[in-house]
Amino acid sequence: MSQVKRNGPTKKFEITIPFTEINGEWYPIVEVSFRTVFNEWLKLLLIFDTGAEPIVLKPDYAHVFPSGTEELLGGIGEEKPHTALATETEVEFLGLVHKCEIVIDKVPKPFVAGIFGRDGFKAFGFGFWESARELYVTLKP
Amino acid sequence: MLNESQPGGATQAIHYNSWLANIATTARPSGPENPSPSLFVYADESGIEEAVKEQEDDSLKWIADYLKQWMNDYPDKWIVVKNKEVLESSEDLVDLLKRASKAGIRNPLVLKMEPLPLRKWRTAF
Repeated sequence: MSQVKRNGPTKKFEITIPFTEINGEWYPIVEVSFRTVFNEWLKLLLIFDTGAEPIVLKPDYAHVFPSGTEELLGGIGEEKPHTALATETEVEFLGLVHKCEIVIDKVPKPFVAGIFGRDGFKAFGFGFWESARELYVTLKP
Repeated sequence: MLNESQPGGATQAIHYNSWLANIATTARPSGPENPSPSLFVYADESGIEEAVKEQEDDSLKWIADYLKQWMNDYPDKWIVVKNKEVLESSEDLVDLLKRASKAGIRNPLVLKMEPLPLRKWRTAF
């Protein structure tokens, strides 16, 4: 397979989010706020995940969000999708608030509350540098 | 009560952020004369600055320093953390949020002190 070298567009990012060390491993963790059924906000730590479509929170958090409906969700290690609860609430990241679906399902990582999937990304531009352990964000993509 | 319209605090005027519409494949950039149908809204400028500053300043480096200690001190409990200090703890998330609200903590950072695995594993989401 031949590689074609191209000059990519220059992108600028205003914000740098360093990775976080947990138990000797480094993760791209972001702080995301959610409006609860009590009409109050709580902030949670989520793993930034470009491979995930929805925002996923662990079942422990389900009862502070509106009751939802069952949806099919697929993941690594599964041949067939399984049912998971999907609900909707307001989500805030870097000052931007939008209504977003969140899925409640098991996330096999301790400490974090879940996964920040691409549904939460839409208004932002992201750059990802694994070896520098940094995530870059622009509010003006 | 903490039922403010924005997570950062007091009720703030919300306006559609015009340039956000540029994420769509529209030939004409959005602006005041061409309002965006986007569902995304920003808090006012100070709200954005505050959120960005918080994310950058509070770089979560403290997690590596304090996590094990908190897991020993608050096993299987929910905690509210601010400025590297545990302000509230409870065995129940709803109870914790009530306590935080009573204490006047807005948009509390909530963590659950689940035990870390003795044997590490890799993840593929």
